[in-house]
Amino acid sequence: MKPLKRSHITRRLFIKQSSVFSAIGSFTLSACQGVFTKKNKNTGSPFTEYDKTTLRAVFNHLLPSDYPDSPGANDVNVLGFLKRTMQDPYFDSYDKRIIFNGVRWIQETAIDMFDNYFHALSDNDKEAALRDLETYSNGEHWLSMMLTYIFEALLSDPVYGGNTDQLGWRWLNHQPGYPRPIIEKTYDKL
Amino acid sequence: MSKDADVCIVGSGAGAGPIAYELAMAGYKVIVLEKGPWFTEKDFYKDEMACCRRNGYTPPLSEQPQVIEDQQSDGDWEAESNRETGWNFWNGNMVGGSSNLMSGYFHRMKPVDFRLLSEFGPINGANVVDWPITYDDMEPYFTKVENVVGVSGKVVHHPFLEPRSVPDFPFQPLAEHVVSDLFDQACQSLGYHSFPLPRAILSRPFNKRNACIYSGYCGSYGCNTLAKGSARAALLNDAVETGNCEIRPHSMVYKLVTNNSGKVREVKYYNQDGNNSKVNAHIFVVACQAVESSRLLLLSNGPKHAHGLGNNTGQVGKNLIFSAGGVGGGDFHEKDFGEELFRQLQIQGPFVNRALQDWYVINDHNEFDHPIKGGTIDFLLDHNNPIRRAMRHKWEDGKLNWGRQLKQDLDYSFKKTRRFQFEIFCDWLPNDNCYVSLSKKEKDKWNTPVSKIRVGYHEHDLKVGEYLAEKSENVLRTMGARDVYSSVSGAPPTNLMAGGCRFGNDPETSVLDKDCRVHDCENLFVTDGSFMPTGGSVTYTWTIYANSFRVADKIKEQL
Repeated sequence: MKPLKRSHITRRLFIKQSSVFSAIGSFTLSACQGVFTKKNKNTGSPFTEYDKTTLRAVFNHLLPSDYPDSPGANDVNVLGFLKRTMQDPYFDSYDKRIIFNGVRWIQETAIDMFDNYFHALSDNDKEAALRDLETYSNGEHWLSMMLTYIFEALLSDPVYGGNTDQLGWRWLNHQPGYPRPIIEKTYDKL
Repeated sequence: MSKDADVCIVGSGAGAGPIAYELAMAGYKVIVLEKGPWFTEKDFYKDEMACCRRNGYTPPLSEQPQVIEDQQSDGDWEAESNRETGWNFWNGNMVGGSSNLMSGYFHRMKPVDFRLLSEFGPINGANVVDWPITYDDMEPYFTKVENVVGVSGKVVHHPFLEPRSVPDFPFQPLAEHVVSDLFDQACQSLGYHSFPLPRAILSRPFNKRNACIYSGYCGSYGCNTLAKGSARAALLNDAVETGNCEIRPHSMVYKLVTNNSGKVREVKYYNQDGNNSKVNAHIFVVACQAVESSRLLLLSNGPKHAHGLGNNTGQVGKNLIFSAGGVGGGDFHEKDFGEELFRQLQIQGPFVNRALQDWYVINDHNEFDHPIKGGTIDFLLDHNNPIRRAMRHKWEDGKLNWGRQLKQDLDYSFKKTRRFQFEIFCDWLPNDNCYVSLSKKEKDKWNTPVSKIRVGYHEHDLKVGEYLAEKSENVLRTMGARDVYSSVSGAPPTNLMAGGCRFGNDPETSVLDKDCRVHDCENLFVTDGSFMPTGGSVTYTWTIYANSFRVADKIKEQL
């Protein structure tokens, strides 16, 4: 297989843009964050309850559920898959930062645009908020990452925590190869 | 004086396997030092995450980075660590190397590939040379690979078929997909000469190895049946069984130590626990894949080699090459083929195994004013990697695609289309802007300077690639594919690398002599793809195997 060159954008560039973008709407951040943060103490999760609620709403908008005809992102446990991925010993610290920042950005965008939590918005308003976020290069990058994690959770072996009951494979008539990976031999344990 | 081994080999891939096999079989003591782990066929799973989405078989770039230098649109060269960019040049770090993960598309080089300069003349800005050996020197070893590693196929005459000492392959062709017939029909109508693509995959059991079971997951995946002719499955297992070959995995060699006369005395490496170890031997072989072999030589200065072993004329690392060309494809839609034929097109497992070499030399006065070297086109069905397939639908008209539209696109793409693809292989012209050196800033986790790889290409490569892409697209359109596309660029395919220690008769312009011995170091050989001064217009593995068998004979003579 001949691989193509990976899109060549450096972290330096993102960090630079990130600092500019983060200034937007930052004054609203603390107001909405505190509501949920306290509930998540000592759970070991990288996300607060507010973050998780936001992420589930984002995932559901990006890949909505039509269960049982076809699964949505939350049917295949994208959030669980993402949390597992972020616990990999070699998970990129820059990617981790982008993931957290993105959650803040969409939370702030929702409040800026509609004075409400993202998860509480109508479908139309969620679409408007996400498309607005997409107009910023960092926002687009974060959304692109979220779509990648959705695809991975939808179509990787369930051993990685997504693709619940092989719903993704069954929906798209995908035949897995054999032998399938076992929990002791996932990529992070090779 | 007693030595740890007769021969110590650094690396265990396609360049190492034949040396270990031949010398162990001949009764010599061999030690193989491999940086990666020792997987067996029981350790491989059809896991897209491990092979293709994460670095399951390559080191973490945070611990073992490389620096890649490429040319920006303003003409400046910019070097960046792949810690930052993720542009990964590692391939299959494990016993058997990246041959464990190859697709095993096996073409022999052709006589013309050995004399590129004499046949086509010089090209401005390219360091084209003839090889110091001929096709006739290599032919017995190409044949040996067919029999020992195992190559399946069927000889079909076409205008650029290379001479063969035996009439046909020792293993009959693998089972073919229905699309192979469609391909043949299209080629016939276009006047092209399609032929079965030989594969380093067993179509019947052989020497304790099982035949292919057509899992549908081959290229990029490890093989569970030993049917794929990796250096491990086909050669190292037998070498170890003789009792004469010891493989030491997790052994990172960082220096070849030379004595006052310039001969290699021992290699130094870090073992799995991170402790310093060493091996001494009569003869040493370096085969760590092109980039890392150059790096190891550059790291190994000594009393007679102030600037790195074999580098007294500044040639180590120079003339690194990749495989030029590109990729392309098109989609078969159910609505164009009917339900029954489309159902057959959706079948996974059997191989397409078709190639075209009609333009191995291009003699087209409408395009080029004299004959030029062309290349090979291999055809295949899209790999069954569902995440990669889904990723194609992430963008639509420059915007991210999501919601119900994304679901519709996925549903249609997976259930109603099948993608057919081609890969173009042509010469990557060696040039002064494609080479390996040592980074002055970046170090790996052992505090050793890492490779810095400049990846300049020659514009001529793109012209050849585009010419072949047009022919390939013709075939796909004739077959009834829609949305036919191709992508030809100067971006190096990181899994197809060679050169850096090219062989030749003149020490001023080469690192190795024609036996792949370092010119001024009589007990050191380099046997991976590094020796190749030009690459031919085929994938490299068969040539690397064949040459390594050839060098094994030279080493036996020297021991």
